[in-house]
Amino acid sequence: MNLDQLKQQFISQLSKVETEKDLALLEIEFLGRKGKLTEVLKSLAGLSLVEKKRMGQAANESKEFMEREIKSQKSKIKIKEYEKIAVEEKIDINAPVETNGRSSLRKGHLHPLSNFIFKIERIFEEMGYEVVDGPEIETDYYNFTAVRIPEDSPSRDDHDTFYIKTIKQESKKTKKQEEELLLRTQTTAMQVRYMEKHQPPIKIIVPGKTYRRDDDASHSPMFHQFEALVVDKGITLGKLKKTLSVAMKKLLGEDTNIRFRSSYFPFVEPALEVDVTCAICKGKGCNICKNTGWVELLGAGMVHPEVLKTSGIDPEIYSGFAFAMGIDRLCMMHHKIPNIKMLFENDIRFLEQF
Amino acid sequence: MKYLFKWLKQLVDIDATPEELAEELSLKSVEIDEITGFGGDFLDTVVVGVIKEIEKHPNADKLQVTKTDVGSEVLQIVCGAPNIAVGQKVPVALVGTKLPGGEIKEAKIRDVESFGMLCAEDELQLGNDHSGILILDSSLPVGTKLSKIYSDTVLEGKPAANRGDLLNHVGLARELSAIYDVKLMSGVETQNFASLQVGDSESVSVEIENLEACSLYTARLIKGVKIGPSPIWMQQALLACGMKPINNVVDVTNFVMLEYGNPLHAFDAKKIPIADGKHKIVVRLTKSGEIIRTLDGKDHEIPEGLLVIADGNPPAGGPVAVAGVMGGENSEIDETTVDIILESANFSSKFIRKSQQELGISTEASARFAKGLSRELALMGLERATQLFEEVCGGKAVEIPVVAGNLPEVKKAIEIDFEKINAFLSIDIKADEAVKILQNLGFIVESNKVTAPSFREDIEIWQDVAEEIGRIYGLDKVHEEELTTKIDPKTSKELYFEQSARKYLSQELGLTEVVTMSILSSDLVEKTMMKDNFFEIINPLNEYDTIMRGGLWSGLLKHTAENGKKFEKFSFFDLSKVYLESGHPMSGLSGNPDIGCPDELPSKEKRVLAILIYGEKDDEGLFVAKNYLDKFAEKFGFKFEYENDYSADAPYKHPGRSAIITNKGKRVGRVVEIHPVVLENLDIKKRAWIGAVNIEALVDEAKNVAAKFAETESNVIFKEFSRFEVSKRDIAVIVDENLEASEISKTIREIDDKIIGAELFDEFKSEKFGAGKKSVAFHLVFQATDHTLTDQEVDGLFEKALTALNTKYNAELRK
Repeated sequence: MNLDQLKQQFISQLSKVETEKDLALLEIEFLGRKGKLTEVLKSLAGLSLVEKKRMGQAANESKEFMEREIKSQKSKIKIKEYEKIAVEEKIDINAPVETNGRSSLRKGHLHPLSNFIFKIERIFEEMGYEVVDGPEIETDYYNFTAVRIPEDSPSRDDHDTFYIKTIKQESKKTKKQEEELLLRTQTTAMQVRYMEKHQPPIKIIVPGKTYRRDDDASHSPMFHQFEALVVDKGITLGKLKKTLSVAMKKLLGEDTNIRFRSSYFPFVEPALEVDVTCAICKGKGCNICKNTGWVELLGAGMVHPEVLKTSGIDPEIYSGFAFAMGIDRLCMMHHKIPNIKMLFENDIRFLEQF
Repeated sequence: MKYLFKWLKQLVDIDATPEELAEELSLKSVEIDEITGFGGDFLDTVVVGVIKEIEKHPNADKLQVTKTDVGSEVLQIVCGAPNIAVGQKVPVALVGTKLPGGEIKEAKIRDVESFGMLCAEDELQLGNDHSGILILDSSLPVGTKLSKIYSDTVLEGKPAANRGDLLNHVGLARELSAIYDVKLMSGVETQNFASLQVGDSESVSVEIENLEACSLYTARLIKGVKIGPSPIWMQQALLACGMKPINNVVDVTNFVMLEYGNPLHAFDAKKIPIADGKHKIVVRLTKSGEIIRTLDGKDHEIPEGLLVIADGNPPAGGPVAVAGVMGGENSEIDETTVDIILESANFSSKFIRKSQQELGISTEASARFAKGLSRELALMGLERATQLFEEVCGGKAVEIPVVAGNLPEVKKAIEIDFEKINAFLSIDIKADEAVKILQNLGFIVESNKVTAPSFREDIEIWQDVAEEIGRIYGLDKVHEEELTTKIDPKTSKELYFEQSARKYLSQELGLTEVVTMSILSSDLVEKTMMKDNFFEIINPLNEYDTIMRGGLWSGLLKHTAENGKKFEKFSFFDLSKVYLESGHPMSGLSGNPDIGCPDELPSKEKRVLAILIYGEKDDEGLFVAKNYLDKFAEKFGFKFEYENDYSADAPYKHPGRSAIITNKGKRVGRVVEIHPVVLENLDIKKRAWIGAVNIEALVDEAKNVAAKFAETESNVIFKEFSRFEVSKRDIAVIVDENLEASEISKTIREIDDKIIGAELFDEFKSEKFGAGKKSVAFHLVFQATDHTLTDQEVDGLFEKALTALNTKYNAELRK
C-alpha cells in the first residue's frame, strides 16, 4: 500500500466513526506504534536517500493530516453527543424569569491598570490635552521608519518586535519592509500618524497597549504606555521641563522632582532620560534607587525636525516636544505589586484587592 | 563597555573620584551602571620585594632559596622559577595572603623554611604568563602594596546607539575633557595619517569589491615581530576590560580597539599568499558554499552574501576572516609568526549585523562595527597600532600603509545661532562658553559655522549641535517655561464611554474587570472553538502564543477555568480591543480614523464589551447575563431586544440557549451559554455564560457618558495571597429570616483567615424550620498561606465557623 491509498482508506473509515471509542481505535490502527502508517514507512527501507527524504516529508504530511482530521472528528462527535441539549435544555430568552438579583449583591472591582490610566488621562485632560487612541497592529513605517529608525538601524535592537500576518496569508515576507505589519513596540508610532492628519497646535496624549518579545518577572509581552506630543510655534526644552515637572507632581505626589539626563532616541533631538525623586526614600538614597535618590522613569525630548518634516509640518516654523512612559511599572510601584504577570493573570484574589 | 579609571586619567588629567566621574557621565554622556574594582583584595598583602641573595636549595635541583627584602624585614623564601636574579624587584605574597590558588603559609620545603611566595603573573590574576616570576619595574619602592599598582576602578556603561565613537577610552576621555574643561593629554589626538593616500604598498595590495559593505580598508606590513606575552600593563588593561590576553600581537590589536575604538586584525603575512608579487587581500561578499574555521576553532559554512576578507590568490582565494567579526585559523598569528599584516578597516554596520545574525557570533569587534563606526577611527587605530607593534613586539613598519576605498571626508559645516540655541534649550550660555564646549569635543568653530569632527557620525543639524552644548553645559540649568499652547481638545466620545462603562459595570453592577492578553495561544483557540481570529504572529515567543484575538471570549474562558478551580461563582467583564480584518461584518462600521482604524491598515481594531457569568443555576445563568446587559442598556440609554438564536452556526454556543442582541433594530451583540464541549475542553466544572456587545455600534447613542476623565482614589497596597491548594465544604444553617445572607457571609470570613470564601448558593423559607426562620447555604473555601490544609484542619475550621454562627445568630446546622 502507498501513502495515497493509506490516506484514502483513512478518510473512508473516518467518515463511518460515530463514537469516541471507535475514534480512539481508528487512531491506533493508523497512527499507533504498530499502525498502518509505520508499516508503510517500513516498506520504504530499500529506497535511495533522496527518495527517502521525499517520502519522509510526505509521510509527515499524511500524519499531520490524520491527526488534524481525528481532532476535528472528535469535537464533532462530542458536539453530537450533546445534540439533544438543543431541545431538552432549550430556553426562551424572553421568558419572564426572575433571577432574584442575587448577583448584584457582589462587590465589583475595577482593574488597577484601568484606574491608573484614568488618572493619567484626567491629569493631562486638566492640563488641556486631547486623549487620542491609535492602532496596535501597525506598519513598520509608522513604528520605525517614520520616527527615524530605518531597517538597519542599531536602535531596532532595543525593540524586539512581533511581526504580524493575516492568518490566510501564505508566505511570510511579500511586501516592502515599510509595509510589514507588526505589533507596535511604542506609542511613539502614533506621532507621525496623528501629525499627518492634524496641523499644529497639537497637544495630545496617546495611552494604549504596546508589545515586545520579552517575558520575565518585569516584562510582559503586552504592556501599556502613553505618549505625549506637543507641537506649536516656540516650543522649547524649558516648556517640556515645566510640563513634566507639573505632571509628575500630579501623578506621583507633590514632593516629586524631576531631573534630565542626556540620552538618545532617534526621533527626538535633544533626547533625554527623565528621572524622578525615588518614592521609597524621597531622594535620600536606598536600594531601589541604587543610592542615587532618583528613579529612571521616562524618555523625552524635542521632536526631531525630520519627524516633523515627514509628517508634513514645517520645522522652520514649528517645534515640539514628546515624552513617553510605561504605565504598568508605575501602577505596580503605586500598589507594590511585585510581578507584572499578576496584572494579566486575573486571579480573583488579586483583582478583589483593588 | 568597561572603562578603566586609571586609563582615562592617563588620557585626560582630571581631578575627580570614580563616583563623581560616574555621576557626571551619567548626566551628560554615557550612563554608568556599575562601578567595580579590578584586582583581587589579596593584592593588599602582596608587596614589592627586592631579591638580596640567591642560593641553591640543598635538597632540590630545581629550587632556589632567596633572601628577599620586603621593606619591613628580609624574608627567606624558596622559589622554583628559573628567571630570578639578585637585585630584581618581584611581587612577594606575604604569609596569610589568600591567593586564588590557595593561602600562603609558613612552610618547610624539602627541609628549608619559607616565609612567603614570589609570584608569577597568573598567580596574581594579572596576566596569563607562568613562565617565571613577574619582574617589576626597578623604580618601584620596596614594600609598596601591589594593590596600589595593579588595581583599578572599572566604570561600566553603555553608550547610546548613535555613539559608536564612545566605545573606547579616548572617546570617553574627550567627553570628560569637555565636561571638566581640561585638554586631552598631548599625543592622544593622532593626526599623522593626514598624508595618507589611496593605493597599494610595495608588498601588499587590497581590493574592495563592495564599497557599501567596506568603505575603507587600510593595512600595513610589519616585519620582524617577536611573538611572546605582552607587557603586564597591557595585559592588565585587557583583563580589567574583560578580554583575555593572547600574545603581544593580538593583544596590541585588542588594546588599540579599547583605546581608539576601531577593531583591528593581524594576519600572519606568510599565510596570505602572494599574487603578482604582492600579498593580495580581497574584501568581498561570500559566494555559496564557502567555509571557514574561525579562531575559536569552529567550522562555519558561510551563507551567501556575507562580508569576508579573502586571500586574492586564485583559484582557491578562500576567506581568511569573517570581516569585522572573527579571524580565520588559516591566517592566525602563532609562535612562528615573523611578519604580520595589520588590518584597520571600516565595515558597514548593516553587513556586520547580518554576519552576526546569520553566523550567531558576536564579538567585541562585531559589536562595535554593528553600532556604526566612522572611517577616521580606522586611521587612528592604524597609526596607534603601528607604534605599539614597534614598541611592544619589536616589529618594524618598513613601508607605507595600503589604503583602499574612501578616506574620511571633512564634514559639512553647520550654521548655528547661539541665541536661537539658548532660546530652544531655555538656557543662558555665553557664546564663548559654548564655543569652548564644542572645541573640547573636537568641533571646529568659525564664527557662526561649526564643523563636527569626522568621527561624530551623529552630528548633522543645528539641533544636534544644540544638544552637545546643552548636555555638557548641564540640563539642570534648563529654565522651566510655561506651556502656553492651547487647543480645543476633541477627545473621542468612545474613550469617555469606555471609562463610564468600566466604572458603572464594576462599581454599580458588581462585576469584576479583567485585563486579558491580546495574544492568544493556539491551544486555547482550539479548545474554545473560536474561529473568528484573523491575524497571527510570524515570530511568536513560543510555539503556542501566536494568535491576535478576534474576540474576547477565549481569554475570558481561560480565566474562568483558572478561577473556577478556587471559586464557585463569579462574574467578570472585559472591555478591550479585538483585531478584525477589513470586510468583517463588525469592521464595516464607521471606523473613526483617530480611534485605531486608519483606512489603509488591513486590520480593524474594535472595542468590545464582554460579560462573563459563572456558577449560576443551570437554567438561570442566561437570564442573569441578560439582566446585566439590560441594566447596562438602561444606564446608557439603549433599548436592547433579544431574539432567540437556535442556529448551529457557532460550535462554542449552546444550541438551545443563545440570543442575538439588537438595539433599535441594529444588531449589536449576542448573549449565549457556552457549549458544554468547550467547558469540558477547558475543564470548567460549572456552566458559563457570555454576553458581548460592540461598543462602536453603541457609542453614538450612548447617554449618561461622563465628559471628563477621573480616577477613584486608590492607595491599596497589594497583599500576597496563598498559592496553596484550596479545600471546599458547603454549610447550610437555619437562621432568623430577617438576617441578611451577606452579613452571615461576612461573619464567616472574619472567623479565621484560613476561611477565604463564603459564597451564598441557596436561600429559602420553609415551615419545617419554624415561623420566621429560613435556610441559607454557603460554599466555604479554605486555604492557608503556608501549606495545603489537611482534612482534619478543614473539619476543625468548619466546626469553628458553625460554633461562631451559633453563638452570634443562634444558627443551627440544617440536617
